[in-house]
Amino acid sequence: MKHRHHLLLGLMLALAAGTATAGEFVALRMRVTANGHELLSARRFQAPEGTSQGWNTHSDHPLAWQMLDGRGQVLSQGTVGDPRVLRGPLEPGGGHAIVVRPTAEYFLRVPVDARATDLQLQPLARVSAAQGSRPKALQAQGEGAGLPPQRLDLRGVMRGPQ
Amino acid sequence: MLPNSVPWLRALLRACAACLFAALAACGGGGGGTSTEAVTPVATPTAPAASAAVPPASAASAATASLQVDWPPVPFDVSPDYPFDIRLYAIGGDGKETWAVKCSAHISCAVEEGPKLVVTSRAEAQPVEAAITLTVTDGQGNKGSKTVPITAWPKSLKVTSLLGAPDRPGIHLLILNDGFLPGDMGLFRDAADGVLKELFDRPEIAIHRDAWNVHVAELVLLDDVTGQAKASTLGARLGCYGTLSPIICFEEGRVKRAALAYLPHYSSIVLIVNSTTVGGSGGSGVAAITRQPKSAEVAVHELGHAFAGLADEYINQGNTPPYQEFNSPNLTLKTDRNEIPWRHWIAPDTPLPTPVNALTMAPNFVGLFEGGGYVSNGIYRPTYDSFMGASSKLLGPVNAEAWALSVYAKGGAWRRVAPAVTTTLARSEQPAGGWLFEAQPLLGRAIAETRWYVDGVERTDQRGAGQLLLPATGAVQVRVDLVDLTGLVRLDQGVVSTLKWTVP
Repeated sequence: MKHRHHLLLGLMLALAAGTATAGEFVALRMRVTANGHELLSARRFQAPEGTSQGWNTHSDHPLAWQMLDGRGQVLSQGTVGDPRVLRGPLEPGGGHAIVVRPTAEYFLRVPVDARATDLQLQPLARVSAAQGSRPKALQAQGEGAGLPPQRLDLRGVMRGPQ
Repeated sequence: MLPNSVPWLRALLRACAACLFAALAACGGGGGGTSTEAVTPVATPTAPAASAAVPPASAASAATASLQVDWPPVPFDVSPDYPFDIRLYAIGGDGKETWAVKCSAHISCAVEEGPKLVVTSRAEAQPVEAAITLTVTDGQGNKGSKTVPITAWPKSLKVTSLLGAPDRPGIHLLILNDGFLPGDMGLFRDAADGVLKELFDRPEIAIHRDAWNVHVAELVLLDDVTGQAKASTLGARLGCYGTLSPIICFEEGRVKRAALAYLPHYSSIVLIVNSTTVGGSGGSGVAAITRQPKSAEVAVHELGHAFAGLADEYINQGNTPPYQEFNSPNLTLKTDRNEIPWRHWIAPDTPLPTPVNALTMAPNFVGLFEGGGYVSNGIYRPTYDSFMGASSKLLGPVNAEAWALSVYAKGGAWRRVAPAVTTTLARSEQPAGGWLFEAQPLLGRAIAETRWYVDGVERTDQRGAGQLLLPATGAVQVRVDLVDLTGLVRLDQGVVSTLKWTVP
């Protein structure tokens, strides 16, 4: 890839190393393609007490994430919907149409934790094949098979520039 | 975009573009009349890392004839919080490139060593569609230039709370718009009100209304030069999967970036598109609808999925039952009364599976109805019909319970808790007057009530209290349950949240 986006450097500066405080989070802007997940940028923010519970999304097609420390211990975890899946409106007698896109951008919101080293993303299923009785999916061209688990380095985001 | 199968045509056009640019540059132009930034030539460093990443400059004589700025084919946004920073690459240069940049009024930009482009937003109040013109010149004087659009997001955006406030605990629903010009904002507000009405006209949802915060942001993308509103801010459109398809597509990253910039702790997003056609889409935390009044039902159905974790109850495919139990509160494969997830709603004399007749088709009659999750047999739903089967229907008791539990689980239980429940309380740090435990419910006492327990025994005199003061006690375990009093929650005797403290 010819382009190497150096957004993260600026973002690390913006995020600046600091101690985790209650209600402090990082929004991770992510992209998923057939090749896996990519961290595009990050942004730190404060959230009112308890609101983070609302970010876990139930879904037929979940994407589970865990934030791990250097020993592989889970520091926090959550679930969002498979960002590739777009659901059409419920039509009388017709149900939803499901579109599985080859690439999608999404956000994860994780608590600031200086102990965090990795973001682990669980495999995304191949939506049409694994969901035998789900609505007929409109497979978007280029959609990959189920993606393997993946780990992304979070140290720069959590600790700022070394 | 030209097809790759006609490279000669591309080369010819590139050459023409280079000639045109050269002519403009000779006239003192070179990028249009809207630029405000000074041109800042910066030499390309010869550091190995940089040159290794640049495409090889072999066959320089051929390559320099088509010197190009290599800009990735993805849209770029720039937030006011931090500079946007992107490495610059040229195709076809001789390795001795210098760069210059011009940018429009609502962004500031510069080329710094790397070389990299650093951009910061200057937009105020509304996003602006701005442009950057990059020019690369190699050691032989060949030039390449590219103008790229970029959206500059403002430092602040007017977010109006229709319910609650942005800094209040609870659930935060953010309603965004697309395709509404400034003069259309009344239509947008009407549509947003329609979503609220559809949501809170349902009594099972309205009873917990105080746990909700609902905000609208009136987005308009302005043209950098004219200041006029553009037709679309978030790229929403119908017909993206077929002319007749009611699916709404939109630039998802841009929608969420807008949400994160102005309400980063949002729980769910509803995007209202300025169209009178019925349409919508869901998934990934955004429910997109049109302003057609019936579309508001789509938003509530989508919140049924995303907010309450409910599965579709309709039948539209075959009869092959799924091979594993659903992870949703409103579908099951179980037929044994003791294993049905909603057994606490089923009367002892209700036959299982439940036959369809005039009695059992009543909206609030709970049983075990065959069919759901898209297939006709082997799977069961709790009511004959509900809003997860057809958007216009009622929630039904089981779905209403799931919705109510989600209200509490997703931020609607407590507005203040102290000490933090994750803290280990050291006996040596006990205050002189004793331990003061505080758990203030977000909702009023008519809706939810506290029950305090000390070492497992309820302090009935403290029922409904927001605090419990314990004088010196030594080791103690304190628990507070929050009990929903609306009758919507039967699971766990209505206990919707529990906090525990331990003094070892």
